[in-house]
Amino acid sequence: MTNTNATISLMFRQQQTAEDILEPSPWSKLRRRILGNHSFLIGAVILVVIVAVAILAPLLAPHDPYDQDLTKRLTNPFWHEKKIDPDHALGTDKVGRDYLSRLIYGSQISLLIGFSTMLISGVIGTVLGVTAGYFGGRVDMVVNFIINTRLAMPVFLVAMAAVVAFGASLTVVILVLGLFLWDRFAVVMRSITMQARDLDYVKAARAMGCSTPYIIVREIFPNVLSSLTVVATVEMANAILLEAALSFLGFGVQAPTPSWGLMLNEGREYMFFSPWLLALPGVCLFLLVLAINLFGDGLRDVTLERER
Amino acid sequence: MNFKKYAGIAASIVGAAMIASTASAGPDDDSLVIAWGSTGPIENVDNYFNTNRTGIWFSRMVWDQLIYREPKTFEYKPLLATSWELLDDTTWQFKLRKGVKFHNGEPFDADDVVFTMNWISNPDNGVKVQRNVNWIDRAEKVDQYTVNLHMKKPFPQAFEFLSGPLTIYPNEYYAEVGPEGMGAKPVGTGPMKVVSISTAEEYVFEKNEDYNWGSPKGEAQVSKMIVREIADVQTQIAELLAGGIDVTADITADHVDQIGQVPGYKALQAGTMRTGYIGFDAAGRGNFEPTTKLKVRQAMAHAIDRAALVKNLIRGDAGVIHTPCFPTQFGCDAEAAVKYEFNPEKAKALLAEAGYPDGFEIDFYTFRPADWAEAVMGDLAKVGIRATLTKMPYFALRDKQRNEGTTPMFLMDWGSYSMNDMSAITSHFFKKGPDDFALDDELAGWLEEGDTSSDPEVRKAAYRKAVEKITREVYWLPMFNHVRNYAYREELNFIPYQDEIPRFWQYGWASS
Amino acid sequence: MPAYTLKRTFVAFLILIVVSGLTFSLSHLSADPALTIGGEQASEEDIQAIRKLYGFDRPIYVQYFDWLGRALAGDFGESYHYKQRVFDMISERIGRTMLLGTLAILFALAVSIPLGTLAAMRPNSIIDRIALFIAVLGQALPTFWFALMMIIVFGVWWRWLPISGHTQWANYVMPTIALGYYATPALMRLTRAGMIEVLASDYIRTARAKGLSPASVLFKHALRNAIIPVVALAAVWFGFMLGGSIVIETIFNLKGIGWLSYDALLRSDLPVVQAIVLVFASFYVVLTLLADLLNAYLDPRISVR
Repeated sequence: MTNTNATISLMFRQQQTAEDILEPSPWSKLRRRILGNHSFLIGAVILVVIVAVAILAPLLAPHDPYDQDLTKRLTNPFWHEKKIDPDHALGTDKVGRDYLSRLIYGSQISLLIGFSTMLISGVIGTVLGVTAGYFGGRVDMVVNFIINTRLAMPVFLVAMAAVVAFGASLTVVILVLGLFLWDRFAVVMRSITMQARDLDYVKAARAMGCSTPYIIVREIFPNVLSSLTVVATVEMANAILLEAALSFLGFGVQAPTPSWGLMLNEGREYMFFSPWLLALPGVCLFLLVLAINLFGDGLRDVTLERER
Repeated sequence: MNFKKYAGIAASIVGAAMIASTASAGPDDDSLVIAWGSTGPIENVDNYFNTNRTGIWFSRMVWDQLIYREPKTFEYKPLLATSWELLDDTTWQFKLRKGVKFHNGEPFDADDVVFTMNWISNPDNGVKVQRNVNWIDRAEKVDQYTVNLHMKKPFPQAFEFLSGPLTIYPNEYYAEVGPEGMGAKPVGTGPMKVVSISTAEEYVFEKNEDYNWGSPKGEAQVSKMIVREIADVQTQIAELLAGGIDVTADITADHVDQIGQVPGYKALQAGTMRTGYIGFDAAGRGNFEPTTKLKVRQAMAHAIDRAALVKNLIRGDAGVIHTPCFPTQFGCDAEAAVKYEFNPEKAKALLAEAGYPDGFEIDFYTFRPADWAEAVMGDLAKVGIRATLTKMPYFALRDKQRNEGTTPMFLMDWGSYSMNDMSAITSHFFKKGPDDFALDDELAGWLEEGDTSSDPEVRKAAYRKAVEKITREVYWLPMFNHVRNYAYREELNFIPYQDEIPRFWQYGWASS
Repeated sequence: MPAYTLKRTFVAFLILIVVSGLTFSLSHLSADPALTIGGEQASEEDIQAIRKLYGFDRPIYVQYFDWLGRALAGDFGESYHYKQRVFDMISERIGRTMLLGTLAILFALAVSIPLGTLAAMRPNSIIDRIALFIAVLGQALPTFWFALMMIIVFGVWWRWLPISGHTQWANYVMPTIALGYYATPALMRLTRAGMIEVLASDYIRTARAKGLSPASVLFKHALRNAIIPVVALAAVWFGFMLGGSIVIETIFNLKGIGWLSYDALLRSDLPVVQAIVLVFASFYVVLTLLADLLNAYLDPRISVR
């Protein structure tokens, strides 16, 4: 377990080892595994639908999500008997904006936050992890220290403080989360790179005098790509949930942005009397995170044969 | 084997549920549980060492002032002082009430008043809000029930302070325990005695049985009262519906409609003198060009449909306000204000004249519910002004305004410390202090004149000019007076007041 | 081993210094403390005086080392808002957060160990599927949303459980479940994976071959080994949970230090925020340290071989 502390690696234990990934898998076998893996399929289908909704939002949404009408506020969704408006299938919110349209556009915000955070944290974590794993020794020690420091920071509290310091906006939330959620990338990349470093053909490349960057980019990186994807899904889900929690407490994305987290915050005001205002964005959030998790779980199972 | 474990968990959960008797609120034991939370926990309940609104209702429960301000008519009436007389320009003489006792048994007399006034006006004692006390020169005892109060200079608003923040303390007790001791175990003459205080948790009171000398404040209506600090409004509502509390005062207008329909509960809205406004950075403190132009500010005044906002979002007996102060306040002349009607076409024309035919982008700040600001933004968008909202905690926003000044436009409000005098609001914002975004010398001069003259007519004339100029220049766009929304159990006799000061001791159960 | 312990302790200490330094600089960016102390009616001169009195006019690193020196001696300064000693404010409330965290982690263990074990005994069976389903569900359910739903059902509709406060045991039931459920998936997956690994080991096969009863094999040998990493991970999760308690304590009005940190942020009460970050970080660091040492002593693979 070299330098890393044992408990942290426990947290990331279910990741595959380099040998698992490097074992070449015939295409037909892979395809069989994909089709036989329900969670991967379900996750992928939901995810594709949500991404499609986000991209096609301008076509799908019946109204402008920002278009308010104070005279038509808080109309009920279609299954109610009273105070419904045929124009607004899922009713309107407290300033009379179409709830369905806001839910549809909300997918853009959640995906944007999840994806951007994942990219930023992915780059930071991968660079740190691969550097530590490849060079080992003192470099590894320093990176380990950075990882440990990051893990010791109470993310949620520090993120809230950062939002107070820099003002709440979509950009700030993405940057703050991106700068905090790289730990898993770093830990996993580090251990996989360490194992890959000792593989025969990497050794061979080194013996042939290939430069370090070349070895990292050409030999090691392609091999860690699939675990990278698995970690990425975990972090994306994590980022989306954290944004929702921040927005829920009022330390996140600002009104009138149609963010599901913010809609939860706003809908909460009506939780005892118009529970759908709370339930609907909650369900959307739940479905998206569920899909990403299922997709990630499935991906892991597909690329690595599960415990028999 | 594993089932045992499950059974254990299940049993413990069910068991916990059974012992869960919610706080026994209700008429049965003549007690009352009130939720309070919107203004957050208080630092020290000693009335002279906090700036929190919690401190205001607390002080009225536990202590009394020399003078009582009738909450509906704003007339001054006797309280601890039975009569008063102006001896000269700077001296008031008060005759004091006999037979009043503090909660610890100490009798009330001139020594208490003299001690309190001299102690609080001594800057070394560090009373937190110096403007409440820095007009007092000294107090002296004439006889056991007569006191002379000397002011540093003629101070026309003196009675607003004497009937408001300046509560009378027991001299012997306070000299012994000081602010810290008073904060831990407050002693006053008021209708309720403090049983216990846990900071940020709850305050427990019991009826002061000696409060029977005919105080205009009235006797306490329940024998025991608990005020719980619950910051979250939804938690308050949940507790109300679950029977854990009897009254909440922090809900929204929509909640009033909804809770009002639940059997067993009543809800109502009551207007207050808290004045909402949109401030503009007219002085260019944050180097934002558009708001420094009069035509732009006028355009925004015409673009915002205040009446629709009040009708749909605020409701109750709130109304659109045109003055940079609350119209009942001394000097706040509604006739003098320049009024702006809702007229998007005119707004567009004015914007074009100002050089912004396609509008502009602006940062908009508030600490209040975002829907109010969103309604404003929706109106502005219709004339081409694209606003981006930043909702910040109150102190963070004030901090940004004072230090950076980078808030071109902000929706805020001011409660005037419940004082019925224009100096408590307009003079605070337009006398070139850190909260001033107009920085208008002429205006500051008029306000200074109004604040310091002892002639009511001179004051009125000066304030009148100030009201006219602020509205003509649209330094502020006054919006509406705030409404407080209450929900409570229907058996409760509940009385709301316009000055935003809840008098909890006056609430009682209809049956008892 | 002593060398390892010493080294890890030193690193842990260093981590706390860095964490506190980062927080200190971050929170001093956020607000002018002088204004917060002065309150809403302070004049410009008051603010200047406060700035001097508290030393806010000094360079930030000087302020930091000053703060750190006193923090090491247990003095976190005075709250800007409440004017109380931060140490007292935290010690008054930390017990509630600790209790909540402990109950939550026990709840998580009580759910995840039996479920994980059952799942491992019959991989891909219906029990395994259900366990996996619960895990996936738990990961995707926003904690605060789950908490609100519980309030609606158990608090308002059925009136089974009190909604806010901390004075009775029943106050802790809903917060415990809401917070504990969040840790369940990770712990359950680890139990399952660990059990599968241990059950397939030669050591267990030998025990079975010796004719030991299945219950004895399961409890005396397999579970005991598989559970050590779970407990270690639970310790780390306990540290995370204290941080996660912010939302839960706010929703249930359970006034522990999570709630206190939220309240302090709203008021820009920096000394309180800094102290709580340090407390959370210390917990995490100490727990990880203990878990590491535990792991080093009792690596299950060593005893399996």
